[in-house]
Amino acid sequence: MRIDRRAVVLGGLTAGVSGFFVSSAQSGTELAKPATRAIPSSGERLPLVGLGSWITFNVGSDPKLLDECAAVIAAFFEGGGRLIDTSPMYGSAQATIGYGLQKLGYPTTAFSAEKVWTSSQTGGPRQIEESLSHWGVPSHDLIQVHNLVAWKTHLEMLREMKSAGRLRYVGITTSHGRRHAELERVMGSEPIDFVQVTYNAIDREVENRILPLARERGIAVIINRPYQRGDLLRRVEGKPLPPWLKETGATSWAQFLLAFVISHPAVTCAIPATTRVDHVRENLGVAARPLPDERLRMKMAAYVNEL
Amino acid sequence: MTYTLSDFLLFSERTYQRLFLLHNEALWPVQVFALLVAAGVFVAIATPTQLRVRLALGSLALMWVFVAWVFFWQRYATINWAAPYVAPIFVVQAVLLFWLASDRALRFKCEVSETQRALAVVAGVFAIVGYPAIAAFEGNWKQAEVVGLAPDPTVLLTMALLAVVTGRKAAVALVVPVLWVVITALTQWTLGLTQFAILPIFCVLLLLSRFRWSART
Repeated sequence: MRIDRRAVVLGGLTAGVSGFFVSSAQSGTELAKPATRAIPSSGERLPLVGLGSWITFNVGSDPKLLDECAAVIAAFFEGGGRLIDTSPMYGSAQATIGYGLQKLGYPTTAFSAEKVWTSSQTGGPRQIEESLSHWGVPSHDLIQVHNLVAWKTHLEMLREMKSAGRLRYVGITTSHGRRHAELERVMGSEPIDFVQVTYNAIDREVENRILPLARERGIAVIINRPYQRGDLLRRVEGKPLPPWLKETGATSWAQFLLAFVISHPAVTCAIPATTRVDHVRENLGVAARPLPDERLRMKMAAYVNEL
Repeated sequence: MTYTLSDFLLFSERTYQRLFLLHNEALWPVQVFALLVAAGVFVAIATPTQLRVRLALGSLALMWVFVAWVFFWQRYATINWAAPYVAPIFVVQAVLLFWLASDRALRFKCEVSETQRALAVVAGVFAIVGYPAIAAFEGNWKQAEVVGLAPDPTVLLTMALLAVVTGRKAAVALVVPVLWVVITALTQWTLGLTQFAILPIFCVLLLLSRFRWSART
């Protein structure tokens, strides 16, 4: 059984704000656009909330699920989202995104965040060509080396692509808090535009070195697993939201947890994944409100950890 | 932080379940033919003779090839990049079953204990009607895993038949089925599906029964 994030909204506690948000979304009224942050290497601004695709967009050739994913993508762009992240590792997710983009006529605001994931020293270019074919686009905005796999070779290849004008940004990723020491070395020695790491109210290791280093080196930060692949939402399900919820700008546990992530000043964009249109709107809604300050952020993390 | 099984999960429970719905829709009415063939295999399990067991092994071999090609290569591969690597393993199993079917020294249990026979029969029945019954009970009979079309019931029917075949060659033919039991159980457990325990339970009981029978002869 899947958790219904709306079900964990404590209606009585935040009836006013929550009611406004739900009615706005349901009536189709345009919500405030999500806040943006600059990519340090270019100054280009990205909305703080992006769209992940791990598991959720791997639907194969299922026409019903493909259309549902396309609706999620449509709602994402409608709500002011830009960055969609995927990987060759995510099954059919690339093709699903391509399907959604084609249905929308390839929105000009789309920001593609792709990955290269192969231990083959020479397989990177072929994998990127396949990715472009799946997406149906002539080039990508960002290509990241997935989980540091063969990163030296791939970073060199990606930098060449960037120099040739076939790629705008280069990045590298890890997930679930692994190989941070190696990631730090890459961040400290290689000219990269983006780094992608796991960060949420429980997994906060990146606060110590990775996020400060990203600020110091002028590297944009994408955050994966802001809900711990849903585990965090299941963990807080049925638990009381804090009485000071209103201070955080959130109206539900999902918004509370996401607000914690994107309010870190080093974070450029978080990429929660979902199969539901209402969740996309809910996620984007977090970035459309004032974000918690540092004092409140610490209070939020402590509250989640005490549960 | 360490790796967990869910780190290797690529698709959702819903996508996985709907895979069988699409599979069934695409193949209809092959299910009818497959169930008839499976019924023939069941006869060999319940009342084994040399000819019946050989024919049943040959029929199952064809089912394994069909599952390898139509399910793993064409269907499952759309959501799981590892599926094409499983397809050849299922073909190897088909070759093993053909090899066993053509073995002149093929022996089977003419006189097995009531418990062993009952266990093989129950496993055979479950493979043929149990899986569709589970789907029907859950209100989704259209996404039933059908023997001969989907791997799990095909593997269970194979293990049920091999329970009445003796010798080392039959034991060798159990390696791939047991391997698949582990893979599918871990996948379904990670997806949160309660049916994950079905195959491991039958597998353990059938292996224990085989081991005890071998120890006595």
